[in-house]
Amino acid sequence: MKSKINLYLIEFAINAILRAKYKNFFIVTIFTLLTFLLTSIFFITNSVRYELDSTLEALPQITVQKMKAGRQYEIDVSVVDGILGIAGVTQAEARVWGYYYFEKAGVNFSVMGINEYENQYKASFTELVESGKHTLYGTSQMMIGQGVAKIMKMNYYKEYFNFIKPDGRLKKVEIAGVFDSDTNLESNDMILMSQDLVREIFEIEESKATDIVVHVANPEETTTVASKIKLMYPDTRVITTKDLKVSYQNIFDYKSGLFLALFIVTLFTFFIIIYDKSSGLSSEEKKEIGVLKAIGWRVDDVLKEKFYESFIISLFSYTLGVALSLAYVYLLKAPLLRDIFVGYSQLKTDFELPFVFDIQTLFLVFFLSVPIYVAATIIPSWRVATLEADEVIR
Amino acid sequence: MSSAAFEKKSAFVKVSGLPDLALSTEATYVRHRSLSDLFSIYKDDATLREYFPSTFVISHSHIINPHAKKISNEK
Repeated sequence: MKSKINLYLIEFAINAILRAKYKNFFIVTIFTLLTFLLTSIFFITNSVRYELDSTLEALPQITVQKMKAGRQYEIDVSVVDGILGIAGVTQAEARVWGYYYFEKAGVNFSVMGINEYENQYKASFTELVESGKHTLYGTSQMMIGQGVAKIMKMNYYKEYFNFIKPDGRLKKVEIAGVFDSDTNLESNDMILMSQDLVREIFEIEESKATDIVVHVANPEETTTVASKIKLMYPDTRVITTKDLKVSYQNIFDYKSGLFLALFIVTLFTFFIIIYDKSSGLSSEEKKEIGVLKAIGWRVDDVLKEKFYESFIISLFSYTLGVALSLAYVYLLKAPLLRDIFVGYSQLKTDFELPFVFDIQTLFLVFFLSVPIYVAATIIPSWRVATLEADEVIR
Repeated sequence: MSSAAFEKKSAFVKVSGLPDLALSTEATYVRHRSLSDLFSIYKDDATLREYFPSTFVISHSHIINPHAKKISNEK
């Protein structure tokens, strides 16, 4: 049986590509750059989303915030008792947390108050803390993320940090430990300390809390419990893990902002190449097809050769672009593009993203580029190849 | 992601209890975007426009008045 793929045709196609070296080099460069840019952005967004989704289960099922005059306000601790009365609720806890703006470095720290005497924290800290002690003792110690440690060190706070309380007095807090770098994406800007200490630093009364987290025994009942809380306390905003999932799904808005700009630019650039290709062949290329026909090539031979030619170019550029973006995002940690996601933040993370090999993205970019390019090469060649040979050469 | 790293991440999130990543910390409504709503930016001034670059990439939480939406879905 004769092989379907004609190796001589492929050889001819490769030689044809090499004959028009500069033109094809330019096309490969632009094509590679486009796939590189698109897949890099998709790799980053997919990895971020994967990272978010993987820790979704660990979050509290319901968070209750108090809204007042369109802003989030401190909630009464007494609400906890009301929530505990709802059937199905196993635990409700008032939390105290907030943001501390360190003016000298211009950074925001997220300060979370925890109950340091609970056993679950002790076990977690042994696993989580990289250096220093593994427990918080008393009310003047804290655990900090790596980013926080770096900023503090730059400002000569190596063993302790002075928080400025609302009344202007200082509160000296010892650094007990630094979190493991594996948790950098979550913990980089976090400070964990005892709840009493957070209350003192932010001057929050004992009867108030930032929000309330609720644990429900049966996850199926979360929505019902949430609507009950909302009915009991109409001034609250109730967020369930389901809502968080929605939020995580929509973290990147592909229909506006930077993504829209990126997609428009890449599509336009690509279609300029396509337009140039499909608007007709140069007289030299026409002549070549004419000669091939004159020496006995059939129309389908010419089209096959053109197919191989364009397929080799586009597939090569596509694979090169994808390979480069893999190395760029996961090995080099996406310099430049990273800043788009980080913004003005002074407290930068390592951007060590989990590796996610997303077939869907690769297919999307593949089908957006390769077949269109192949079609844009074959169609004008077909128009010329169907003409009489002497008409084309003349 | 290795399973050890995954365990650590989950343990940390369990301890802190806060959603979202520390990717961008420039604005509080970007840092914990799932806990803030569409109107969070206006708490500073009602005429403010978004001027943090990360808001052009990271969108709002899409949980607007979750309770009302749920009720209308159930009906």
